[in-house]
Amino acid sequence: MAVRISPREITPEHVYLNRRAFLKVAGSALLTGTLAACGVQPQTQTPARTPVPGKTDELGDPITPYEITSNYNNYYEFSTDKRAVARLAKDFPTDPWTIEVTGLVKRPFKIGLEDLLRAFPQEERIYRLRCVEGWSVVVPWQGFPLAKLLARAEPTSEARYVRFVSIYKPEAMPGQRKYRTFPWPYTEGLRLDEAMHPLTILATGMYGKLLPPQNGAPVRLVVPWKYGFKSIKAVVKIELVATQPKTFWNTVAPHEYGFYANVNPNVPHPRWSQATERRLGESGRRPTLMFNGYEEEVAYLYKGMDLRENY
Amino acid sequence: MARHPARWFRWLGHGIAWTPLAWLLLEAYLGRLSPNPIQDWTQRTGRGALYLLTLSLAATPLSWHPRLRWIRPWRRTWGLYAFAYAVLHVYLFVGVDYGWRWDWLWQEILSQKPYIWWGLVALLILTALAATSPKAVARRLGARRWKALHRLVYLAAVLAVWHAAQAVKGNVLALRGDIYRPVAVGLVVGALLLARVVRRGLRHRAFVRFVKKRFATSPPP
Ligand code: HEM
Repeated sequence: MAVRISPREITPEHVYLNRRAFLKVAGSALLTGTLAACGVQPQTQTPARTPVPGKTDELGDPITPYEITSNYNNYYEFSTDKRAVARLAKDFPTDPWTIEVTGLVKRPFKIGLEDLLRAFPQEERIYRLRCVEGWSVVVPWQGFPLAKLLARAEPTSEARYVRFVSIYKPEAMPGQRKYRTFPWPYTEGLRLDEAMHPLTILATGMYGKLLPPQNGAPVRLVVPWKYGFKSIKAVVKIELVATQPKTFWNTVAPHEYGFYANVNPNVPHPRWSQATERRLGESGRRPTLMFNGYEEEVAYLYKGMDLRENY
Repeated sequence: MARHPARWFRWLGHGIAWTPLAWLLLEAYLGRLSPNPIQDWTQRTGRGALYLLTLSLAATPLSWHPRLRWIRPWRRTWGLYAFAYAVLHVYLFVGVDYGWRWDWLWQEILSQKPYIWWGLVALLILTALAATSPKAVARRLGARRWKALHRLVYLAAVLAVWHAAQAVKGNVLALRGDIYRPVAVGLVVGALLLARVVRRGLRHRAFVRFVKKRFATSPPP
């Protein structure tokens, strides 16, 4: 299967290096695409304010400015106010960080962030992200295919789904304290073939920098043909399971947010149409594309399925 | 000599009514709106409409207080402001957000749970009330019919609250999500309606007679 989005070289001058030592190492890995600690001098630079001119997604739409994508975040662990998240998440501790891959696998393992960045070379993917609320952005992510991580654990033949769990840390996440009626921690799920799809990545950076906390640092899922809420942030656990796992929004409002949550202009949300969207940074609206424009790559996954039933 | 409160309140009353718009304009000017400014505008003018409508409903119960009788005419003024905000709210949605693309709008409206419809009915009511608000029109209509028509303001308020409750993210019935605003306004509107019902009940003749009889049979203290 051909993937249109080819990994591109990461522009070194946009690598933002964090103060913390381990992140320096990680940053160098990001920078060079090789093992860290090979003498690359960390350059401390202020993040670029605007994207590289001329950079677009494969449809020719420009990358959304960093100031927008890093200041407009649906992240209820911090706040329901999309603009308050960046401030509230500023000091969210992401060091140390461990991801556990477990469940129906032959080789369960735990991996620290540093090792993760070393073990899996980071590539750039410019993806559209379409929020279920009806807005969208174009983001240059750095990450690696989730398939590689899963392959390492060797899923058993019973494994049919992948369950993702986000961090539960109420002392650092005010939303987890404030919105008590939500089923924390945030969980998500994919069918195994969706999780293994080459477009599905785990992202550790964006715009050539490490992920800022408000965008899901240090590691998040990105599934570009599904509504944004599927792309779970701050992942700590990835579990292979036999049956369709419960997911956060599907538990909160089952009629509004399905398990599949594929971007689909023809299947409205119960309270609004999904036929159009606002691209942040533009005025007015534009039509929403089937599978968010990734139809060619992913439609086969849903052949014969009623997408109205399986919203 | 202290001026009658009705006089200085004129400034305050209009000031309150202009505040949501002035604030929105100021923030837009300072570049402090969100990366999704059209949504800011739509939501905040909608809220402005609802707040003014609520204020308009509050004027009458406030005026029951002997020293606040002068506030009664403000129900009309604030009601007209509410109408103006609602028109702006809908214009932003239809004209700016959707750019008058009726095909897209139609899709949006058809695919909905009826929250857009509740908004539309509320807007139609407010339009009818605004249209019959000039004294000449009211006189032509006759007091009884005018009164009956203007009772619809309660319905408009309830519909607007419900419209807002369904527009925000979250689930009002489960008290989950971003729902404190519509719930708060809903409680205020409910209290204002209840105040009227209670007062009517209290004034009801049969009720008065009932009370009198009770007190007539018992020995005077
Ligand atoms: C044809 C009539 C109307 C239409 C099409 C309409 C449309 C909308 C839309 C699309 C939203 C959602 C905005 C968003 O979250 O992006 C909304 C929210 C809202 N509308 Fe309306 N509306 C109408 C009439 C009214 C009226 C008459 C009122 C009040 C008197 C009103 C008050 C509100 C309020 C308070 C909100 C919630 C804003 C918030 O806090 O998020 N609307 N309306």
